[in-house]
Amino acid sequence: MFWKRAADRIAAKESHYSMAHQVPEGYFFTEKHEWAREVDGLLWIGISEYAQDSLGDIVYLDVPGAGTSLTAGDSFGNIESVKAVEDLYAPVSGTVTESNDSVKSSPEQINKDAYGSWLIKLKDYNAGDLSKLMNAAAYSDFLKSLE
Amino acid sequence: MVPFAGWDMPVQYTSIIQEHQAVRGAAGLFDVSHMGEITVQGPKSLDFLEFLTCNAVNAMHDGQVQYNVVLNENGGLVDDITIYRVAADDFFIVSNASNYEAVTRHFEKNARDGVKIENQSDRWHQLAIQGPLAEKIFTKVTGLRLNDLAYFTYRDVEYNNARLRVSRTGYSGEDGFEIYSDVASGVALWDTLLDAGRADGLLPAGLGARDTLRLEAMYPLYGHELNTDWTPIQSGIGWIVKEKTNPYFGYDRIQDHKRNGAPGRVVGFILDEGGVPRDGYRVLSGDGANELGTVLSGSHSPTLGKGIGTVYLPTEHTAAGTRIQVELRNRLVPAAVHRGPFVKGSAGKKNG
Repeated sequence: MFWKRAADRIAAKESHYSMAHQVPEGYFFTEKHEWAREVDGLLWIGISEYAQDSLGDIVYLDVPGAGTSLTAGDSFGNIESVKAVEDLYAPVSGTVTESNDSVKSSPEQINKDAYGSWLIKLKDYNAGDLSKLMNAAAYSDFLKSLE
Repeated sequence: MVPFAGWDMPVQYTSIIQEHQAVRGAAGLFDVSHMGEITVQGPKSLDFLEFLTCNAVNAMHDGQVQYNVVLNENGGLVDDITIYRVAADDFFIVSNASNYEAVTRHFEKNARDGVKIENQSDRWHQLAIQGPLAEKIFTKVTGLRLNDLAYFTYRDVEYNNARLRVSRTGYSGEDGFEIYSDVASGVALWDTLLDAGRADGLLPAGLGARDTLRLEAMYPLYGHELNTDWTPIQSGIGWIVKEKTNPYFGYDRIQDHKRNGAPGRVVGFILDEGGVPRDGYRVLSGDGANELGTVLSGSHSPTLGKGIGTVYLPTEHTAAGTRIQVELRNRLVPAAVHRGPFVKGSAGKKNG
């Protein structure tokens, strides 16, 4: 009786991974699926497509406001979906200049466009620290290793 | 996919919120074959069920369905069930997936007067189609005439050379049907309904949406609001407690709770601020001075856009609007006690 549904599941799994594997260039990644991207001298932080897909419907975002200093690897907030709550970890050290009010009031934007939905912006970070993160190719390989 | 009481079941097909909204706005289709089906038969079946449950089985008529609970010796719950009266000496009982073996054992242990108990769970497939458009979609696709089927009644019908047992019942707060059949017919019906129903907004719905829907409707779930210790009064389902001439299990304790009040009861709550309350989170008094309990069921309410949940509280904190606080990881979030359903759906409004 599960024959047809097993086939559906395999198809769903394949489409899930092919989509999650389309990692954009210019982004740097942690093993906990945060991304960081330099834009106009600030570092934008978000979560990856893989992370949003794993979480499912995101309904709440708790991130710090301007002036908060973050330490690389430390939890700086959390993100909640209907299913789960996860900590957010700072990809590098730095100082928050802004958190995204639009995403905070409509967190489902992250599900629709994970790479377009920054959560916070950092200043006073060391650009050299980005080399400690995974680039697009390395993160893509990392995702494949999780299968 | 998650393993659930021995079944491999989808939490979601697409998105919990999308599936939830389909059920509230159109219709959703659930495969709930994991539920248990147990038959109780014989001339003394009615007396047997009257002794093990607190709702009035003797007030049922043929074709009626009743929400009820199976009591243990202490007046706590073995499970909550729906009873289908086939005939005065023939009852079809639907129990939770995780509990049907415990219910069967409990029935067998207390069986008397030649009552025949049979666990038929492996034989039955169960689908639920739920939502304001459930009747329209189901009758259109199957050609079955069920528009006159009243809320909490059932009918056995022929469809595609198989027998379907169809009741106007559910676990979503919306109008709809639960459909029992042999396994092959149920699998075929799933495909037929989805293919033909999608144009009207029917979506397959998983366990995730089933849980957010039932919580919004304030329907209890065993292991959360119901357990072996609390009486139905404590669990917030005191409306099923009836007085009986021949006392049932735990009668004195349950009647005492009904007449004189219980030390506490299950109530709902709504968070004032964002965040999702989850099972096991601590609940404090409004001033934060006392720990009152823990969250029994907690979720984001897709309909209200707020965090909602249930908690067992001492009676003095159970009035609607009473201020409490819920500890969400590292912060205390103010909340208000809520009584009754969080969301009133279409259930019971058609032929209710």
